[in-house]
Amino acid sequence: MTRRVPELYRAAPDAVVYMNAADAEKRGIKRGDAVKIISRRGEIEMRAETKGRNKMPEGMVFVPFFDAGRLVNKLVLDATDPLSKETDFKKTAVKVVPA
Amino acid sequence: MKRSNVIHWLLFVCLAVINFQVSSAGLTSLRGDAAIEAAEPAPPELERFINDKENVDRTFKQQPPLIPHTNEKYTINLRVNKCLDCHMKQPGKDEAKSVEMSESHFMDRAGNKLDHPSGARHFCTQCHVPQIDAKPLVENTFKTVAAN
Repeated sequence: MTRRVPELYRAAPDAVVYMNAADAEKRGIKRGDAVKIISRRGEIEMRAETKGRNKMPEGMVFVPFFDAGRLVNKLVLDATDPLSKETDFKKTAVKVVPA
Repeated sequence: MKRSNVIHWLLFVCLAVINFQVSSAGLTSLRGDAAIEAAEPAPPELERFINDKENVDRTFKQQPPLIPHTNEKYTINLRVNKCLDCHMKQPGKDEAKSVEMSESHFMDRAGNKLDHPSGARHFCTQCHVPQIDAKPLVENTFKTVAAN
């Protein structure tokens, strides 16, 4: 996990969920609200961000994994590809609801 | 031979036990005390970026200067670049108010001078980031350019 380089920590202190403003509005979520991100494998709670460096397209959210306090790996599938042994940590279907 | 084998095994078991004790003796990560399986503690509020007139010191030579103000409402797209309103070279511009873009931003890849900012430098926030006011979470002994 990172968060150890001072200027990078000051630029992006905590993990947030980046989402499209229209998606957030549909769910009654405002920028900075606590939201629950739920997949069939688990759930995590974090703050919603609709601005900033990542402009998400509608229907997609992004969660970084650098923050040890927010374990996004709870949501994803822990299976590996039988041939390449590549993990499937990069994407999963989730539901976002106000916390 | 058998005897030396037994000694080896004993030594190995001893080391393994010591190792286990060291690794389980209250090591806390940046996650704090929360167990992996436990629900996460409530997330901290979104931080606000500093909004100062003072520049933030560089950490190392050739570091892209850090932004000492918020830029959340600035539009940067194909047609508009809000940052350039202040950071572009202009005759009669007040130097104290905003830092002018470096000469390097007026060169193409081959090093030829241009009379306009290079397209490769257009998206300022690819390199320049605003900062919150916070102490490092982990102690850091790196000496910055300013400290040296």
